[in-house]
Amino acid sequence: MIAYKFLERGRIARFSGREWPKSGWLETEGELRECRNGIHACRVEDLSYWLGEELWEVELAGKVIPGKLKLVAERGRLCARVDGWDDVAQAEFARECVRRVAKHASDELREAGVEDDADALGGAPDIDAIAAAAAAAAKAAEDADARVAERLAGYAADAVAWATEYPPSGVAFVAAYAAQARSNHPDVDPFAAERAEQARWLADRLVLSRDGA
Amino acid sequence: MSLVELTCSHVTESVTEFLEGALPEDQQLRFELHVVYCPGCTVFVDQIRSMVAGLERLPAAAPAEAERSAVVDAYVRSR
Repeated sequence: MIAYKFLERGRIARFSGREWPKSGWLETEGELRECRNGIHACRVEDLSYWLGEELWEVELAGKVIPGKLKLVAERGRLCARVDGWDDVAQAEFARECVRRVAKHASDELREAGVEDDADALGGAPDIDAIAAAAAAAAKAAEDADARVAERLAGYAADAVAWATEYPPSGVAFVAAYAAQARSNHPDVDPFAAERAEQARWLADRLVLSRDGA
Repeated sequence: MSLVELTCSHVTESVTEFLEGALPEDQQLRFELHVVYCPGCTVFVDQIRSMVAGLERLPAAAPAEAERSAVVDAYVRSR
């Protein structure tokens, strides 16, 4: 079946430190166990949890077990690097996550009655504008004694800093954490819902197959 | 299982168990997820991993008798 794998530069697996060969199979022996033993990869819907420098399409074979946020297989090989996951796409994804944090904060501000700042933050056209609007919104929320909204506006400011200084995995987490912090998020599991939205963005932007084959 | 509970403090406390594969599966997963997004913990885990690998490369050598006696004496005094 076809799956995906984020690797560090040079096809290095983040946790095992193993270098995946450009061609040929990686194989494992013994009982497959999540996080312990087996060739690990992920489905499209898991992608946003495992962001790394290089994204590869991989083929998994032999026994394959679905795990929480991952797939574990007896054998795996690299098929092709997803070239679209380059510096440009990573920067775009980071900006999208900042925008998503701002949306969570804006929604919370509106529910708290801090509507002008909600509009300003929700309508900010770029991350510099989001940073300025977030700072103003945090102050307005504090003045209104709207603590959750104040915290979320702070997350929006944090998101700008993370997007600027660190790989996009950081700001993606901030977005999920912000969703989790909402007072009345419509989903039962806001963290997972936000991660799912991120994964959909990645699949669309990188034109990834959503179905294993 | 919440995926947002693990903190940097948890990572520093459990890094040895993580590297030995000794954490329960859910904690192992949460540890991994934290390291993916936390640049500080990424560096920390890499440093500990490198240190352990370096120690494993050291030749096994028995301590000198005087050093061994000093360690045993210190242990006995501490009890």
